[in-house]
Amino acid sequence: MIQRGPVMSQTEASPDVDVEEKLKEAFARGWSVIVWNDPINLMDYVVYVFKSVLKMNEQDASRHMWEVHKNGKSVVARETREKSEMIVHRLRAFGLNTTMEEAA
Amino acid sequence: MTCDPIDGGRWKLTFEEPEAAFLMNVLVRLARHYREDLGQLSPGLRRFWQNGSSVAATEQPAKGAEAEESREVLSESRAELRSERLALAESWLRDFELAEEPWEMEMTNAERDEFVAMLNDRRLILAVEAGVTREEHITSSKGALEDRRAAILEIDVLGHFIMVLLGPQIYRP
Repeated sequence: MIQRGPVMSQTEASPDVDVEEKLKEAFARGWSVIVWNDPINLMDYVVYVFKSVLKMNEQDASRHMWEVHKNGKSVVARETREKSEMIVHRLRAFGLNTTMEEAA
Repeated sequence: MTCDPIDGGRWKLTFEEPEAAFLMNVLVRLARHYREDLGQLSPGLRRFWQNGSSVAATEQPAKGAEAEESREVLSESRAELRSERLALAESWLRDFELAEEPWEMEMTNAERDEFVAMLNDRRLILAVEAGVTREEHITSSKGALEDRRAAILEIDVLGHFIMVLLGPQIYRP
């Protein structure tokens, strides 16, 4: 990638720029990934997929699986649009009924 | 069937002859399905491959231009997935055809995940085709038509295979 202008090392990074970047990223994470209940996917399988794709620990994966099962859906991630697309694609590749929507 | 970890993060799958025959049949059917043009599929299966939704009730219209763009991106990725899985199904079929007793296969972790996901594709395809619901799934569809009963049986057998394949990594309450 072509670098334009002076290259600033991490130790030289201005705290203001750092905060601004973090804020920008936080605001960009405006897309929710939602997994919906379905009658076929096995509960244990869903837990495995959450752990594998979303890198959740056992406890969080189980909690989200139960939320899907009992409430019909669960928001499993809040990310940028591009990252959400990637997550939705991977969850769908495992057969989970998944959608994404922009947070209100 | 067994699935055991071996060196280098790989897995060794061992099958009895009837299990191997059953899985070959599943792979043949999957390959045939992945090869089929999306336009030729039933509305339910088309929806499954375009929106990733096996349940009509959760279908939602995309809200806004960005959401519509994402929907198209995801739809294209799903189409590519069908070609990738067709290549995998054909490759595993060749392996199965060349194999002799004992029926064994070695897979990386990523390949095993794909194998499991494809067996799950077959379960979901059967469910969409036969309109299987949870209630039928549990009560084994008394009085249902023969092909529906066969679909439910295959869905359950494949579910058992998936649990064996995921072995110690699955959730244990």
